[in-house]
Amino acid sequence: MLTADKVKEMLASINGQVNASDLKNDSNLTDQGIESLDTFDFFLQVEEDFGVTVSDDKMEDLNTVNKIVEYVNSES
Amino acid sequence: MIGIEAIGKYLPERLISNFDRKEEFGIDDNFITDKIGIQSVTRKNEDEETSDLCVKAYHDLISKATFEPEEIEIIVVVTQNPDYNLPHTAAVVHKKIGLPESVASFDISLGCSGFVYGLSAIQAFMVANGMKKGILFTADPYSKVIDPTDKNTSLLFGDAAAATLITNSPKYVTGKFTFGTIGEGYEELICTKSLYMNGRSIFNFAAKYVPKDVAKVLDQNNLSIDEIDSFVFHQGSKYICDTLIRRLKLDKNKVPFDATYYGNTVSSSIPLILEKQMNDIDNKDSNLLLCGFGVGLSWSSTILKRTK
Repeated sequence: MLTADKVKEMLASINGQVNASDLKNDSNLTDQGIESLDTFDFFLQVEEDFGVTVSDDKMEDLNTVNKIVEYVNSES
Repeated sequence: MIGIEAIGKYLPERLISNFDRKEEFGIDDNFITDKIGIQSVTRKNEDEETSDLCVKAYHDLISKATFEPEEIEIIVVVTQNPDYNLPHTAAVVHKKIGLPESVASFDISLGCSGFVYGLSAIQAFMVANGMKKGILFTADPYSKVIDPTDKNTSLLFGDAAAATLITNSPKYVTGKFTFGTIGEGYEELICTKSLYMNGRSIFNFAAKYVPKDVAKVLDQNNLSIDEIDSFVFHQGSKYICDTLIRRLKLDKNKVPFDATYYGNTVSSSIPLILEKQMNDIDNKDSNLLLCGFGVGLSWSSTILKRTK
């Protein structure tokens, strides 16, 4: 099961500049310094680790930590 | 035994700064320096043709290696942006540098995997036909097909050319090669009216397939990952190189990223790095792993071993 803390840890690790503890669950990821390239990498890891493939259109919608958690857990 | 004796290069002087385009594309300094890692891209003059880039790389080559044009037996041009639909650009280069009629010349239509593929093709052709001197050109000026307003491509791709001299007096010889194609993904990087790239698809392709191919080429050459001194990956972007470093758990000092001031130069990205390493007298790297990957989707890897 994917948790909000795990999402924040993965995003911070990929981004390399934001701290996991600074990421807010309901704020837009782009506004928090997560670039589109980071989300490519993040969703590739989600696919590999959780078996959930996220389409390009859906990826645009999943722009907060909570939305990611809810969607990935509903699909896995 | 044949292999690489010398490499000439050409990078147009005209640069477009990505810092000047921050407002246009809604990007910041961090995106430029830490993500794509490309601060400026080279642009050929509008009246410069693909063959002209090759000729300029050839002029650099003849300043680095001693040979006469009459000794050249084959030239190959790797490009997907030729001077004309026909004839092949190699014929135009043949005329412009004044080579003998006995020279074999042909083009290879490949993008970012083209240098590694081309090395295998020209060497196999030379061995099969008893040839001793040939030149592998790479020149793919994407500025011919880029839509300047397209963020996905216009910040990344730069124009360049390389001329790689293949002879029986090599400084590097190649090991076994690997190749691969995913034709299913041909539309992910394509030029119809202008260049289109699905950045996410290309990223996923590189992140998934390059590590597997690195393992495969190491296995085929009976080498361990620790025996490689330098991993010369196609310079798609800094982000791609950083991703490969992380996924393969490589020492970042062994993975050059050199495209900061000229951009992703397609099939010339690998020979531009090799040229730099060959001219660095302090560089003692003896085992290099090359991997080109991109449009097709296509990839190829090999090992280079220094002979002297």
